[in-house]
Amino acid sequence: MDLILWRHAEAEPGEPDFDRRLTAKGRKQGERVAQWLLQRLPVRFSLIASPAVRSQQTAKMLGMPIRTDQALAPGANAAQIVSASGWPDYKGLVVMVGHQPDLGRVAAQLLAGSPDPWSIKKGGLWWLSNRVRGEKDQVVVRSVVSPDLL
Amino acid sequence: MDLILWRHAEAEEGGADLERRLTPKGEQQAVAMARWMLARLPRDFRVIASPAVRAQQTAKALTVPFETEKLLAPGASIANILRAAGWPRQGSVVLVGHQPDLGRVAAHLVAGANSEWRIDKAALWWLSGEVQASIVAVISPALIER
Repeated sequence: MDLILWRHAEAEPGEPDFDRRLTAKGRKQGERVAQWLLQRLPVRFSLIASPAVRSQQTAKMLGMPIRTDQALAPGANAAQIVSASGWPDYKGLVVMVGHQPDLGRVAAQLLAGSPDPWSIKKGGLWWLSNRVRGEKDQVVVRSVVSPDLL
Repeated sequence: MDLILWRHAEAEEGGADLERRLTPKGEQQAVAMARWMLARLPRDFRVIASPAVRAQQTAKALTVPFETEKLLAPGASIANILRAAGWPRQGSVVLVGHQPDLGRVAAHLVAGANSEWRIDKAALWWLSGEVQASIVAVISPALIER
C-alpha cells in the first residue's frame, strides 16, 4: 500500500487550538501541495483527516470526500494512526492529514521501528510504500516534499 | 550541513562495472534531477562523485565543476562516505554514488539504524543536520514534472 502523511499547512495562532484556521500563506501552501499530489496520485485513493479545522481545510484542497478520524486529532499516538490507515494490508493509497509531532512519529515507526519525532514541515508530506520483496516486507520512502520545494 | 545523497541514474547492464555508461533514459533522468536541484539548492555547494562512469556522467548533468573521490566507489562504507562529505562540518555537499551504500548512510544519519534504505536510480535524499539528520526532501525522476 501507499501511505501519504500530510501535515496541515500554516494556521493562525490562537485558542482554542482545535478551531485554528489556515492563514493566507497556509492556503497557498495547501493548494500547491494538493496540485502536486493530484498530478501524481492514482484516480482512486482514500482521504482521512484529523477533525481539527486546519487539517480539514488542508484536506479539502484535494477536492475528494474526507473521512474524519479522531485517531488523527492533535496528540494522536503513532500506533493508532497506523491502525487507522489500514497499514500494511490495505490495497491502495491513503492520504492522512494531521499534526506534528504525531505524523513524524508514524514515519519513524514505519521506517525505523521506533516512534521518534521526525520533522515534517507545515504543509509538507511523506509518501511511504510497502513492497514485499522476496519474503521481506520493505518500507520505501517514495518522496518527502514541503511547499517551498514545489 | 546539507547533504544530498544522489544515486547515479539508470546505466547499461554488463561489462566492467566501473565502466558502465548511462542509458539514454538514465541521461534524461540525470538532467531532470539536475534541473530540480539547481533551482532549489543553496547557491554554494560542492559536488563529489564516485569514480564509476555512471556516477561521473550523472554528476556532469549538474553542469558545475565536481570532484572525484575514490572513497565513494561502489561498496563504500558509511564512515568513508561521511569522510568524503566532510559531515557535519561542510556547507552543502552533493554526493553522487551507489546503492546500497547511500541508503546505509541515510539510515545511519536519520535513524541511527544499521539498515539499507532503498534509493531509486537517479533519486536523491536531501538531509540536513549536525549530528543526527532530518530529511528535507526525497525526490525521484518519476515524481518530477517533465
